[in-house]
Amino acid sequence: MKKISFLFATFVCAFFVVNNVSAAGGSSIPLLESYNNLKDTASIQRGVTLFANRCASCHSLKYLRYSSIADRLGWDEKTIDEKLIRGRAKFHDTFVGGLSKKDALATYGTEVPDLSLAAKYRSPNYLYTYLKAYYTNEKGKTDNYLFPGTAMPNMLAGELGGRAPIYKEVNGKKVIVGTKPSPAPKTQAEKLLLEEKEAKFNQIARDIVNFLEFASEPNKLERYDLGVKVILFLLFLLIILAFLKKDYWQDIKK
Amino acid sequence: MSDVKNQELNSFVAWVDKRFPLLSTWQQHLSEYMAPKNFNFWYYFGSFAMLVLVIQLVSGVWLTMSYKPGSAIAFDSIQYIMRDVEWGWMIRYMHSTGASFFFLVVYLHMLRGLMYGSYRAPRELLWILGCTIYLVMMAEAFMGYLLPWGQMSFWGAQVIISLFSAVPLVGEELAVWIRGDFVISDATLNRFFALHVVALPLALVALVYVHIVALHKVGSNNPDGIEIKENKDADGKPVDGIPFHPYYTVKDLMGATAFLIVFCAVMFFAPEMFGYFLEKPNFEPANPLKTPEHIAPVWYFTPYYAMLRAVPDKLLGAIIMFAAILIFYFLPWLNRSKNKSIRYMGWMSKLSLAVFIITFIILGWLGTQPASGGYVLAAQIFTAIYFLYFLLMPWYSKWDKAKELPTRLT
Repeated sequence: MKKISFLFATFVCAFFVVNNVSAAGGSSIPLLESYNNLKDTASIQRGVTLFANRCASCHSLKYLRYSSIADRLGWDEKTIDEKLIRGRAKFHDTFVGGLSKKDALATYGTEVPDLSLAAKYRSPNYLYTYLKAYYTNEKGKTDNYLFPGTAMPNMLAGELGGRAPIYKEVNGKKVIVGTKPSPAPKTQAEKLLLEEKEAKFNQIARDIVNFLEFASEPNKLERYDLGVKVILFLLFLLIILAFLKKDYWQDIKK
Repeated sequence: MSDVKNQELNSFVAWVDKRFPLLSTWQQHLSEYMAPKNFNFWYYFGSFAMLVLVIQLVSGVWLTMSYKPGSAIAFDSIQYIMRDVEWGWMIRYMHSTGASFFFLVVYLHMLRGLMYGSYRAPRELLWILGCTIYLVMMAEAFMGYLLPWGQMSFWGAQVIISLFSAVPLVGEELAVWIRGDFVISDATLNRFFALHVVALPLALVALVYVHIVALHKVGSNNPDGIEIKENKDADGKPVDGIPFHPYYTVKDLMGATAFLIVFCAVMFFAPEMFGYFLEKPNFEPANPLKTPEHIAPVWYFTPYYAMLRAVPDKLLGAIIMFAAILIFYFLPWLNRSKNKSIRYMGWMSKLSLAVFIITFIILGWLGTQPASGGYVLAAQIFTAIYFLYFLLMPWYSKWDKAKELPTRLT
């Protein structure tokens, strides 16, 4: 038993070392925590509306059906049509949005990615940080410190106002790890006002990320629900089988 | 009443038995197959491997009902399974989680063999069949990984198949022959699909069957590494043996349930396993024009991938990688210790096995890291240690001080 626990400890340690190192590896820019909650229906409702108004003119969601949104948000066909479809598609169609390849190349010089799986090939934290990573550089131009030179304009610029970069030394390299208000607030009242503004902005970013995480796997909550039931059943079965085994084995001498 | 029913059943069984070896098979392989009574925790993994094989076969059949091979439609069809097919997400996660668990349990099953000398005479052929199962499994997993047609599917296959082009003289032709094209393409995807769902599973099932036939011929080894057949009672039954059924069927049933709890915990709550079971770049469709910044295989191949990258020369790297897998075949003839089980060996064997386990894990970790500077040097050192475990075995296993064996199982 001692040996088994030792071996298991070795495996577990190895796994966590590997996991931590690789989480830290890759990009040296630390990601912000999105704190989005998939169970927060109101947040996804706000998120889908924000997406439809601010993102969908360029970004598509080619795998997400309106009917899945309706199922999750408790919206009926009429509501979905009023809020999102506006007569452009049918209830079971996938989300209408995005630019054609030609238009995208003409406007941005690059293709605009489909965001159906963005929360998977990146992560909710990455998306949240990305939305918060816009700042004004020394040349007075808008840039994004997580994705320098991004072709995407800051669609939420009006919500937050001017931002300046915060530098920090990471692994001996000077990198931007966040942004601060620019110009800096002069009075306490101004500071409070800006903080309130930022909190509101954070919620907007969080809502969009929350919606995108939902869009990347609409069945996720159902999966968690079923998982709890299946595991409870198996635990119950395990107890019965443990007694059965004990009963069968009682006559075997050690 | 029940007597009448019993009689009917018996006469039915007798009818079948005249035409098919039903009773004798049942007796030979279950009710009268004598297994050592001291199987410990490590002896669960063989039955777990069979359970996962069944999970993979069944979930695979159902995936095939909705998956569409073809470079233009494969990626979309996976999302169709995930979103539109009833229970599709569960079937797919079952299969992807199953792939990782298959390797996990097989690695632990092999480690059991290393610890207790299950490959030593008379079980050499059993071990060789097992090694072949492992090889076929790797081919099966490699080809299956191309099917979702994501970025990692494409570039992973690109890296591995291009290894064949390093073969002298016929290399390029060989790589083209495997791909069916000059690059990984629709033709590659379709042939991998055929091999993944028909040819290799057939080979796998046949090999597992033969593996068990061989096992039942020689009998199971045990943690003490002594033969229970050498100590029989008056009826000719091993004193330390117990019938597989009902003792181990009921025990494995319990073990399988515990295993399924772990399996389901991953499948329902973390099927991507933080990017280790399903890699993040694979959620982007394959793009031949955009190389991912960092190409890494799934975790179960990373030890060998680290070895491949440790060698600067492509051909030599490929040879080292394949040699690292094939060297397992020679274990029965490399180990010269008097006893089979690590329990009755001295410190040299124990230390070398411990170092080998740690080396394998570290190589696995290195395989997930970028191939730069210190990582490459570390991979070179641990690749050398990996091979030394095998190549020095004839000596340390012989010099090592053997402990005295018990006459009965402990």
